[in-house]
Amino acid sequence: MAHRWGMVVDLDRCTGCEACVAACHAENNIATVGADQAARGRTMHWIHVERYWEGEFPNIRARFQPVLCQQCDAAPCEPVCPTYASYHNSEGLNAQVYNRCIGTRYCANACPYTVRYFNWFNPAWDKPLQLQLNPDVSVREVGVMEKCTFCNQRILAGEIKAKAANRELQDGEVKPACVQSCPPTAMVFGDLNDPNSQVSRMSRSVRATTLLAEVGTLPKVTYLERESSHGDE
Amino acid sequence: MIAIYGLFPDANSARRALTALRAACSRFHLNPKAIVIMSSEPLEEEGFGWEEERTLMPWLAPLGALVGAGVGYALSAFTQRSYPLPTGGMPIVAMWPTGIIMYELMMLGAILTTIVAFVIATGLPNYKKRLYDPEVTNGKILVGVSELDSACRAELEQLLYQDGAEQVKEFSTYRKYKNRFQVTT
Amino acid sequence: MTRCAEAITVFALAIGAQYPIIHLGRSWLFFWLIPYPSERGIWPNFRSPLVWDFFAISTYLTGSLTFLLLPIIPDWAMVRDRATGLRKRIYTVLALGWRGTPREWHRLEVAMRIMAVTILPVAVSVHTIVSWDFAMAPVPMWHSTVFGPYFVAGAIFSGIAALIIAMALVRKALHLEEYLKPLHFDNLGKLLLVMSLLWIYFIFAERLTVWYGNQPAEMAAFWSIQRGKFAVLFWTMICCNFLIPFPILAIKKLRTIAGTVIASSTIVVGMWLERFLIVVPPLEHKYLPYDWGSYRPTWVEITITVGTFMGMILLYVLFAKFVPIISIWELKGGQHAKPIAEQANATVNLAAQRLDSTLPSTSS
Repeated sequence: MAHRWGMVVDLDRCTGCEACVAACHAENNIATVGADQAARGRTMHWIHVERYWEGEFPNIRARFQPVLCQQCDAAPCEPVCPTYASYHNSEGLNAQVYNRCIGTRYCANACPYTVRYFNWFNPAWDKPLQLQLNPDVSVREVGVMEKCTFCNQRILAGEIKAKAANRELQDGEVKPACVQSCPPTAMVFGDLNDPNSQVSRMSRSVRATTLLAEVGTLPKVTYLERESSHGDE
Repeated sequence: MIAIYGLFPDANSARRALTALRAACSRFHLNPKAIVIMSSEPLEEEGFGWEEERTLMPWLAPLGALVGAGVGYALSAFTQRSYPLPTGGMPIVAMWPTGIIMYELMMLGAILTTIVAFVIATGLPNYKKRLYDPEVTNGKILVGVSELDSACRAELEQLLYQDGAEQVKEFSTYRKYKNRFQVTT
Repeated sequence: MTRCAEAITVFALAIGAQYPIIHLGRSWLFFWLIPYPSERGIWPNFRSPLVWDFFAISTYLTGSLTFLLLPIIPDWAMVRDRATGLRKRIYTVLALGWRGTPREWHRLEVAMRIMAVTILPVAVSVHTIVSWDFAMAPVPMWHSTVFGPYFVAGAIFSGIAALIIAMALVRKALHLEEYLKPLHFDNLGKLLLVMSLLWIYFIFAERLTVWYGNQPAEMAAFWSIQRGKFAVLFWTMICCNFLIPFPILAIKKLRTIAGTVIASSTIVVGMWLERFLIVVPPLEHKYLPYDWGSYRPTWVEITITVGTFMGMILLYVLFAKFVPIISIWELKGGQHAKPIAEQANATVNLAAQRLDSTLPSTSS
């Protein structure tokens, strides 16, 4: 059976450490843009940790919410692309084909989660940082959109390895960089088509919710609400 | 064969001359189609054959529109099926967007048909040396015949003058390399 | 008058159509929007509003150009007969060998009648589809059914305003006082008045619906426009598009040439602000507050905007210089005056001006 990749993010566990952000940048060859451009909102963090404050001082607490591409089943970003750069692949991933992209940026406007990023410049790395570029991931040229791929290169590597060994891919065998690097294991990745996978079981939790469900995008990332936020501590 | 024409100052005299010319067709062994009229504005009044002008253009335009809509459907349906890529949970050939493409190509079909029909019906562009006189631009109405037996020349000239022509001129197509619209008298 | 207006349409559209291309990340690949059997084996995505846009703009540009150029042929023939030297040679080519036979005149009038019927639905569709570029995206305040008619009305509104300004300038510069009479401005002023009322109606309908619906995501953009940092622009827009022009256009004594030009000038400014307020505040206030940003134009964007404004003026001046800006043969045939409907019709089309109000680039 075809895979249908999904993720669960347990907000109770997230500490907002941003290890996922660093890992994602390293894994996916994401360039940084510098302070000036960042002030213009031109950063490219495929995953970013949103921080919201709850309550009034002194009874105040930070709430962290890692947001990455939700790999929607009814993704608003896909049909608006005139060149099919953004489309739905057979494993349910919301794929971005850089070579087809002409940079209309319409998908970025259409995305309710604001997780699509535009390359305002050709990517560059200060020496010797170029030595840590991941050879499995292409770098993107100026003028194209990019976004989280659920570390598609790792998924493919895992599938090839499993096929070579003539076996099924095991649950938890493939981990995107963010999941792998999360110290409190707040994120779980796996196949939603396998009812017994950890991600399937967790997404059936009573705490399960999706981000901006009212927009009707049918995301494949599930957030587990903080239990502690339901009442006073 | 020669071409001869008169320049008339107003529609009334031109109409008189035209009527006389048509009546005299057999006398001059004239093909009625050889009678030409030119003006610097449309002569929609009676007597100039405006009401006899017929064209299929108003029928061709809707036909072109239909073809356009068909092309619109074929283009979106066949191309999307030829390389089916799902997006946003929509069908490969989705009804509403296809409707938009059909609508636009329908209108484009009507427009293009009209342009082509206009070009064919008027024979424009035509840069050949043809019977014409720049005096038409100054508001004169030109009435004449493009193919006339030279023997009838004097008689016809008289007819045109009789009906109020200011000038009667002969037009020769043989002076090719001189000013294209120059006219000899 | 028709020609003054149609020229605005064509140039505004030609310039407006460049904006999506300027806006592209990889502008040099813009032709991937065009459906042609490419070596890539892939066709455009017909589900994308940008592809609808490509079709709508191509159709409208073809139609407007035809509508503009067909009736110029007899005028070019007239210029050909009177010019000398190089000009004669150029206009001889342009006049296509027009002679003015009844057959030519008849076919021209039939073609123009078909075009007049065709161009109006195309004009409606092109402005609607531009609005759908916004409305198809689930962005707060964009995803609205009112956008289609609202944009069509706005297009006619700003189009008439631009026409009045252009006509007044052409009238002064080319001494056409005899042909462009105060009556024309008076009539256009009335039309502008109606459009101003229609515009305020649409604004009211749009804002009331959002306000009453009280959806958190929409309200963020809503209040930033009305009370927040865009409030000055918003209320300036209301003044420019309604509060100032309405009395000028409603009071007969003020509906003079000067009056309509003043009203039109504020409207052109107001409609540009309207565009800005449609594009920028909603993109600054998408659903997740963490992603809220703040847009300020770069010098590149400002230069492009100013450049296209100037380009529009340049094209129009050149047009007025080389083409009879008023249809000579139609004026001559003044005794059988063109039906008013046809003129109004043509005026309406002209509205492509709206495309000229540029979409500022956004950084999201």
